Amino acid sequence: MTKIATLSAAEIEQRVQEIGQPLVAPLVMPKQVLESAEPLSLRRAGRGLLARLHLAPARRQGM
Amino acid sequence: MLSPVARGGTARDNAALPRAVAIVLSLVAGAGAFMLFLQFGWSDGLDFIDIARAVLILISTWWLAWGAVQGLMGLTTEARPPAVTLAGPLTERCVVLVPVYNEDPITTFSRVAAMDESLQATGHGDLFHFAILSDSRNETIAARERLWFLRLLEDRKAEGRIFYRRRSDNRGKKAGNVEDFIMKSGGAYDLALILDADSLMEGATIVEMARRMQAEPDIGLLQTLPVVTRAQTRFGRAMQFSAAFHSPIFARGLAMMQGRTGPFWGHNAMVRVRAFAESCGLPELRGKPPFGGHIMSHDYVEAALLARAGWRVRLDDDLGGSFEEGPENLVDHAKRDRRWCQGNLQHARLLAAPGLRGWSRFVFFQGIMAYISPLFWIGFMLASVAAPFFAPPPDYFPEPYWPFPIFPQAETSKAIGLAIGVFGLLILPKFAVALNAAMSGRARSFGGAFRAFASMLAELLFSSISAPVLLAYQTRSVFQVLLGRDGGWPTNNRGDARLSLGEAWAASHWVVTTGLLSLAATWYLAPGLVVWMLPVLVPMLLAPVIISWSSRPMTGGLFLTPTDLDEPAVMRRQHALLAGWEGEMIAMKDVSFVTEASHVGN
Repeated sequence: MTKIATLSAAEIEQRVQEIGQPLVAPLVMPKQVLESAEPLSLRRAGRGLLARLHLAPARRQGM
Repeated sequence: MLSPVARGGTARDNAALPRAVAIVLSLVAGAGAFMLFLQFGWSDGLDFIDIARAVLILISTWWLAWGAVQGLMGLTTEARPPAVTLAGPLTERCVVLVPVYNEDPITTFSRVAAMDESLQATGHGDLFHFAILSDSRNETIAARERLWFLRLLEDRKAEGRIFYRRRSDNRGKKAGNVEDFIMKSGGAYDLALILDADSLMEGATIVEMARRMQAEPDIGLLQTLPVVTRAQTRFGRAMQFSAAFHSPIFARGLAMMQGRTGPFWGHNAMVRVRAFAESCGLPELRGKPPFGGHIMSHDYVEAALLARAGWRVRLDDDLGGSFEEGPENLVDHAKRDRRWCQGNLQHARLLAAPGLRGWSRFVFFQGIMAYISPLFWIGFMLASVAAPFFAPPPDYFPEPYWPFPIFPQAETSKAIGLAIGVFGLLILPKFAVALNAAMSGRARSFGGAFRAFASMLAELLFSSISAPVLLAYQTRSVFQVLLGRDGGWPTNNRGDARLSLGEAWAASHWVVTTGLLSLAATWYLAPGLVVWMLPVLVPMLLAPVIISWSSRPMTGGLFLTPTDLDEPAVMRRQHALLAGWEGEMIAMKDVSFVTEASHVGN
């Protein structure tokens, strides 16, 4: 404790840099998709709901 | 690429029945209120305003019933540990993350020291590291953080075990802070325990969480139920009692309905690092705050994203040894609530996010409802005040050729019955919890059945008096968000909570003004409703008194909680460490350090 109390602010900062830094072990964290490219429309939502309930044909997929 | 282990659903996952029961029961209650009100309106001829009022009461009652059913369901079972247990030794490496933002470093770091000590005592300390993740923007506080970090390392002999880093910018707020750590250091760990600056956990609880996650590799996140501790004021003690007495039961009800998509409350929860990294990179939403920009209430979204990726998110409400601190006065509570309000309303943008599980969307909807539900009550009150202007004149001779007048049926008894029903939904779960606590012996840890019951009544009274004031703040928050005002990211006030009458007035004069105007308008437009409005309007008129009075220190024997009667070891130790460090502030040159840093800042 005595030793810490004798250090200046700059020395403390230096010391924390030397011994405080977390381990280096990078991981990729890809950004998730939360918004669809098209804005939400009631018509599209209704069509999706009907398709899910098998009351309307699902949108045809392109080849 | 790591992926969740394919598993059959366990009994804990089977949530379809509890969910269906809760939804049906609450809808029945809402529909009952709706029908009763329609009948009430029918007595003098049904008009547009009657239908509007009936719809508003339907939504409001359904929402109240939803909460009540959750509490009552929680009484039907007990919290139990999971069936699967870890057979072999614990091997997974875990980092305990402590994000800080302009907090008092002595208090926060004393918690880290106590948790480290508690972890070392379990014999598994070598598997756990700590990382203090500073986002502090105040240079004086940052300088003190570095000073006390060195002291923490020295005390705990923790070089290479406890780390500290400060970000140069606080992009993404707390979620960005954690994300930054995961991206730079996450590869070194299997698990991460995410805490708040005021979190405190027993080492044995942390080890048990790691064991459960190692035993069930499809769990992406394990949430504990944090217990509020160390409250001093009347407001804080009432909240602490309510959280300790009622929350475990409500959490049990929630746990019954969670299935694979349980909650994440942002802290006192353990995540599987690779699952979190792969699933929880949060994008910035298009547009500006409050609805665009970074995601404020990130925890709900991260839980939804983990579930979307196939990971199980689970609340283990049987785990003890998990603590946090809460706001100590009504104004601090309202400030925190302003942030949560913005975060929850922002989730409206995510209701249609691709691939989310249905229950995750419902959780977003619940969060939104929690904040907009007062608007339905206010709408109902306004419609009631306006109703006399829309009512047709009474028709005393509705039957042709019938010579005697027919008086409209008196429906007052139905209106009173409806009011009692609504009030019952508010208080019934609390009485049921008190009864259950007395019968099961749980009340002993609250000072005995009589004291627990008296505390429950006192809390009920206090929450009834303070609810209109809190609802006023909540309503203002909703309107601020809807009008596009960003509330920012204010620091949590964890210092002296006492508010003078003047300070309380400054924070709540608009509540008093609104109450006065509402009273005058009701008196002028619908004098018959004044008595019905008084339970809401009187507390609004007395808001400064309620705020100031409830911020004073609590005396007397009410609101005892288990942690008061039998303080957990980690809390006791943290208290002692904090007292010791505070006594050494001068020797540590903390005070001169503040001055030095202030000069640098100038």
